[in-house]
Amino acid sequence: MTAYLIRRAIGALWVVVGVAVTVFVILHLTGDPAAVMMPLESTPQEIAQFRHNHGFDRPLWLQFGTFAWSALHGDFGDSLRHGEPALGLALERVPASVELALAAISLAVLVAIPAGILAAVRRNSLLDILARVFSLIGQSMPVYWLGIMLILLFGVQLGWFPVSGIGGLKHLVLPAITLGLFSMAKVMRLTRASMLDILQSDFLRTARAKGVLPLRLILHHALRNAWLPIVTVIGVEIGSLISQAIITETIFGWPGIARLAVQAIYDRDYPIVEVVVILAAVSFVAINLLVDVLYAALDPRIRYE
Amino acid sequence: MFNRRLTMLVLAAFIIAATGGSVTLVPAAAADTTVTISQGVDPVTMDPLKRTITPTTNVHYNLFDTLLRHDRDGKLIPWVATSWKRIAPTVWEFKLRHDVKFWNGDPLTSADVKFAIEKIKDPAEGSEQGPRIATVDHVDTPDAYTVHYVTAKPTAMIAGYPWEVFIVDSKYWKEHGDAYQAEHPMGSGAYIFKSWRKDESLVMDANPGWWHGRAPIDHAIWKPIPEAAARVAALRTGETDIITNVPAQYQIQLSGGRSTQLESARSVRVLFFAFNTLKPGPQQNRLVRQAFNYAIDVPALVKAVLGGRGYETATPLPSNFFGYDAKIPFYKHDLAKAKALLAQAGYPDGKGLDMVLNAPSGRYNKDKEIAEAVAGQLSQTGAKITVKIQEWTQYVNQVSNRSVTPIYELGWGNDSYDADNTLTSLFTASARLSTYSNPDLDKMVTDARYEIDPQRRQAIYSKALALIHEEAPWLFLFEYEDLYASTKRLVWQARGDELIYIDEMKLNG
Amino acid sequence: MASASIAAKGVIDLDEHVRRRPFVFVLFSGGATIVGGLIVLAVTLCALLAPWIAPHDPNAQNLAINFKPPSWVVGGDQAYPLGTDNLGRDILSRIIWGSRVAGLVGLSAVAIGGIIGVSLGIIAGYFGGLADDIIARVADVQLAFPAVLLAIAVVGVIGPSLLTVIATIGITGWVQYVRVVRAEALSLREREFVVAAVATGASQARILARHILPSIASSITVLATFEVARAIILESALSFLALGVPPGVPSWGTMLADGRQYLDTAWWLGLFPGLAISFTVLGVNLFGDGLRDALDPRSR
Repeated sequence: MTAYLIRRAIGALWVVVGVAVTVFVILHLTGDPAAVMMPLESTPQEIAQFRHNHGFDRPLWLQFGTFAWSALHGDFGDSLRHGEPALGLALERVPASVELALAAISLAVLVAIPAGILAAVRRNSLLDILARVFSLIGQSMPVYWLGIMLILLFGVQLGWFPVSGIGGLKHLVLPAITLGLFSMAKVMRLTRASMLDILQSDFLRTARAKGVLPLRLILHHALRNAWLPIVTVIGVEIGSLISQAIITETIFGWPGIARLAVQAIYDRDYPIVEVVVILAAVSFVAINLLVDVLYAALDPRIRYE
Repeated sequence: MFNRRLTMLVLAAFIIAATGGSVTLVPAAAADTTVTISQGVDPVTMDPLKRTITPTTNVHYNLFDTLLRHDRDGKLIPWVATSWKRIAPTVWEFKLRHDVKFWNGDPLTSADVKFAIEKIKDPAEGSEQGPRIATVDHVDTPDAYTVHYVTAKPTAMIAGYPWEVFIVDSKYWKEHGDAYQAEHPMGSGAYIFKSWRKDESLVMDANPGWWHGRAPIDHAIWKPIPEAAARVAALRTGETDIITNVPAQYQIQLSGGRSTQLESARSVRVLFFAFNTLKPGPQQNRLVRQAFNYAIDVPALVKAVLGGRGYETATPLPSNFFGYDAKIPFYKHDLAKAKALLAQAGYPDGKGLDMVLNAPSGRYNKDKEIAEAVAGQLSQTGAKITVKIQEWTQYVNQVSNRSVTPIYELGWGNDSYDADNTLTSLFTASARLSTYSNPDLDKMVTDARYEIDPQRRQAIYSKALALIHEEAPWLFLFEYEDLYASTKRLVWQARGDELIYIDEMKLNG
Repeated sequence: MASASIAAKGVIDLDEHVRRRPFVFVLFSGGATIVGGLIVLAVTLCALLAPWIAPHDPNAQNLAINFKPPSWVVGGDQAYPLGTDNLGRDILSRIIWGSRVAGLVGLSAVAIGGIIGVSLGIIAGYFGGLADDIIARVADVQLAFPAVLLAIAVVGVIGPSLLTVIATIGITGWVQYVRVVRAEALSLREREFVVAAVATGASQARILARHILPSIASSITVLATFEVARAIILESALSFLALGVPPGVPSWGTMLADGRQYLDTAWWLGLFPGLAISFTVLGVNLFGDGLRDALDPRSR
């Protein structure tokens, strides 16, 4: 097991390196931040000066080398836009994004899983139909639309929640729903499908035939078998949360890292884009590694050689 | 706030008790007044000598003082400098007030002005404000309250805007270093920097010792909200008091709102399409350019796309800029004339014309829609027009190296209130952004820049504008009218230069 | 087995197919699947017949009549049943024509992603070894990489156009196929009939063509239907970032992106393309669900 984990960790490292190289190449080949950062009326000398100040006039491999070397020491350079260290700027924003992501995942897990179980157990009942409709709508609704509708309805018309910014629990509600709805719908659908599979398995059919169907038994047996795909999906969903967070954080003015990243991409603020992408890749592989470990821990049948 | 009130009341009770009730009750402290402002982006840095983008400089204008200020109509008024005059062909003298102090008590002197200018001029600092002081060669400080701007050549005062430099505390700066300024500014302005949580809120408190007198509003919070719909929603719920960049489609909702009011200001920003006359193609033919100008119906465009919030322009200059000439004729919509000119140019019914109209998306207010509408109007001449939209970074790169062709959209605004910046940057052969080249025009612009007599200067500019009109290197469109909105409890008027001075605000009643 | 990488978590059932009831009968025994199928059919017909059923030219601007609400609202006009957009273009016509882009983007993006993904998946699963490792690594890197940047890269190289959008969506989609196909190919490699074929000296190509491909066909089909849905949504997301289809080609994604700023003032600009996207995605998903159930032996 340990050997497996070490191999996986090394593999994950390669992924991060791959991502770092790719993002570096893409950024430097598709647009010159000097032209974007400097005001339109700057002279060519000023632009050249800017490029020189930030080392953009050196050969690409040299730039990458310097970047990689400093990155290993935790220095990702200064943001072109803010003039402050990029890593610091990014890390400042991480707690806010994590807060939002946790809220969204919690919704997915705490609401969707029980709902999916109930829907499966009470198959074809009103609850089940509502749940299926909800999950289908949730998976085909554009995030932007949802966010604005929630703002208009619950924020402006009803005045129940604030429409912008970070603050207490009240500020978290609308953004969390916006970010989490897609995942909620997906997890609910998957839970329901997995539960249905389990419920129709021979073991449970026999139990039902014998007239014994305590809820506890269902939950115990079903969950033990259904958690695998569910955990898989949650792991994957966390990855997709990042791209959805971009829209959500922008709409709700949430001071998170996705919003920083969008602005940075727009500006071609290299250091920030690089730092954010690498951080995202690191968390992505870390979460997947964690999920795999969880697999092994929770199911003795799964063994990695 | 609650605690202060309570304390005051207790104190008052105490005083009354102590003086046996013969003293009138000390009134409870009035509730602290706070104004929240929401722009689309957060400021970038608290170092005031680096950037020029409005959402950032707006914050700085409240934290730092400048030598002079513009009033709402664009007229220069004395500010930290009480007087300004040219005492020698290349020397402009500013006399400073003696009573200006930074928040930490340091007095503001000419050394601070000199320090700021030199920081901006230093290429290693990478400041964007260089063009603002381009005409200033160096600064002399004959005494603590006199500043001499020494120019390379005799220069009219208005050329460039060196009086708008933010004055910083040189002593504090030298003590703490550059990086410290970005997060801990030391200014002398109307408001004292209190705290800044990036992308969240920036708080400032009224400066009780401000030389101009303490501003009426006690606190200001800058809370950025990127999405326009969310900004409008936040205003309606009262979460913010002022919002900027209000899209035209909200004007009815906001001006008729229960608690909101609409503000507008004629912007200094002009939107246009430029012809790249440096690259081969039909756009090099003046008749084609003029024809296209006649094909555009600007009032209809403004009404449909901007909700009427725009002013047709005949020249590249906003109407309140020095150099503007109201006598330049407009290219009024005349499709027949457009077709006739095209026929004259060898393209009857637009046959043979297949051109690309380039535009950015999301950079200027409704830039993409305007491009589509303009393309639609131009197509009515029979020409084939294809619209190509790009995101800003790609676009600006092509604009910068003049490779975008044959027609491309751009916006231009600056708060110099003078023709020199616009004409130099957009029409002279050497300018990075100019895709037009005419030696006669170049000479006129250079002559005007160094012409001291305002009347002769205006005459040169009138000639230049007439030439530009005739040559039509642009599709002349419009000046924006910027929309802002505020809550009804606020008394405030928006400015055309997009600046927001909190000391100009007060609360109703 | 090669090191289990992130890309190898397939969740598709691998049992053999045992035919009990006619496939088509099973497929349409569920009401939901029928609805899904009808929606897909409707969209396809729209796309094919657009020039004949659209009442107006989708690109014809008329600034004087912009922002007309749908005909049943006060101020609406019968000639423009769903209203007009910010430049006076008929929304109904644009929706009808937009189905072409949706169909085109969906199909070609799926085709590109599918061809790349299936090929790589088979190579990785069947041949294993170094090829498997490399492919798995590249897949992981791409999964960990934000799609936005990839889109920017593609647009930066090719320039904005319909082709670019298709390429981008295709490039972001191949990873899904690899996961599934690899897992199947891997397991099939060990099956008796394949082992037998190898033993009798059949060529690789023949084995692939006659044994492997048919077995994975059903999984790929199911996956493809979901990929169509994803492609349509992604096209819309790209339009938000000015990386989408150029103006002049009406697409639901661009209409939605353009209409977003009018959600609370001229709601019809964004609502109808949004509904079109949602319904199409819904239909495709329902149909895909039904397809999966029908192909899954345990439900019969």
